[in-house]
Amino acid sequence: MLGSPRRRPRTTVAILILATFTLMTANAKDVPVLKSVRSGVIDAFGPIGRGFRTATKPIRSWWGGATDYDRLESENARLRNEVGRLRAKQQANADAVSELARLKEQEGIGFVGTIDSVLAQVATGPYSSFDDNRIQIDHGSRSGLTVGMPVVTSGGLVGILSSVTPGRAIVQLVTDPDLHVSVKLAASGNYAIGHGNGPSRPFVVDDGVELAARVDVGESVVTSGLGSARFPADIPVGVVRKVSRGGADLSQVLDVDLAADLVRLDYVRVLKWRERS
Amino acid sequence: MIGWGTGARWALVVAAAFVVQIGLVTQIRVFGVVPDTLVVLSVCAGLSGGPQRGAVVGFWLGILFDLPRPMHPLGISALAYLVVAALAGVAQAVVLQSGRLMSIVIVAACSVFGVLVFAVESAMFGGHAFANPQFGTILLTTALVGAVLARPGLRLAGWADGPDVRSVAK
Repeated sequence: MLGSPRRRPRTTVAILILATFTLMTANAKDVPVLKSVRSGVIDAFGPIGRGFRTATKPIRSWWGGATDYDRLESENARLRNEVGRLRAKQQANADAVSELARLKEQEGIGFVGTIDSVLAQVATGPYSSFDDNRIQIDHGSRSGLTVGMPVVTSGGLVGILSSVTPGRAIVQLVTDPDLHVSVKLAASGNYAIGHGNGPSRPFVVDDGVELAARVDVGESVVTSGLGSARFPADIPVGVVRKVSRGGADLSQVLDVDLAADLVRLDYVRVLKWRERS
Repeated sequence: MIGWGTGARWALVVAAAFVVQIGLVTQIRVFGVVPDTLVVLSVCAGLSGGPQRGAVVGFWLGILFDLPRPMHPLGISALAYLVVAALAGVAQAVVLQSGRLMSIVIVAACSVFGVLVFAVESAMFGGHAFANPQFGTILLTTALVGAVLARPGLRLAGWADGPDVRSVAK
């Protein structure tokens, strides 16, 4: 149907608007047919996206350098400063690291490595700029994945599976403001809640760190694994970049630089770990 | 009734545009954002074939674009695209009298408006489109992409419309 000339344009537009409202309503009610259709489309177009992703890798590398030169230059300068600062802190941190390792042994915190996992490749990035907090991976329910499983890289926490089809899964990234993570400050042992703050912005811990608590810039933030936490304990989330006083509630707000590099994700590991009920 | 030829050509254009958007365009970011070429094509369909044609093409482009994105309600892009394409169709007469430059300006402006409509809808469903730190860049990039793709988009829409429609690209 491309519009009959005999029908008034306003009628056609009104019918189509009604159709979209109907679809949105059906979608909100989780109509199984719609879920199946969407699932089928994701599975069908996944290989296309992955094929284009592989084929365009050299072009993307060149284009990224060409259009992002200023950002890369400033990032290089920032990284040079960071290396200098880290070298100075390396010695001081050595003691803290060994202390933390001993603490973990004493607390009996489990390692992520013991959890069954699936290595997956990023099939495609976001389809639009408003999907920046999602990526698609090339494994789905056929590999035993289910909604809610944590996703990590060797760097740290990446996100959680928000949608799973037989052959694909969509990852809700830790940058998503709607994804709340129960965290622990590794050195001070404070427990708090953090959430994403959008792409290219630091993770924010803004619930649970009291004003009296001492938090240092550079302190590691890991998942807490507490109670009904959505993630197992001790997955690195990031490092505190900035500590500031919160608004009305008497707490501190921490800006955390994420440990995992979400800009250059190629492979991720999905942990077959279920949220405790 | 519309001819089979026109329907087939538009089906081909819509399918090809969808594959190019999700396969190719998403891989190449402009100023850090993913250009939305489908909203540009919807606007071109409206400008070329009028509000009715634009609404139908925008609807299908939006539905296709919504399908592989389960984080958004199905129909959210369809509504934005069809509304903006229908509005562009209303401007068809102005473009026919004004020429190329005006058509480029209208495609760019309507494309930006389409993204704004999507952002409003997304916010109504609890999304954070307006909180996106790159929101301004997204709008500017959409305008730029709309301006660059206006002429080829209008030519493509003119081809799909067939010889019977007096396209603004001709």
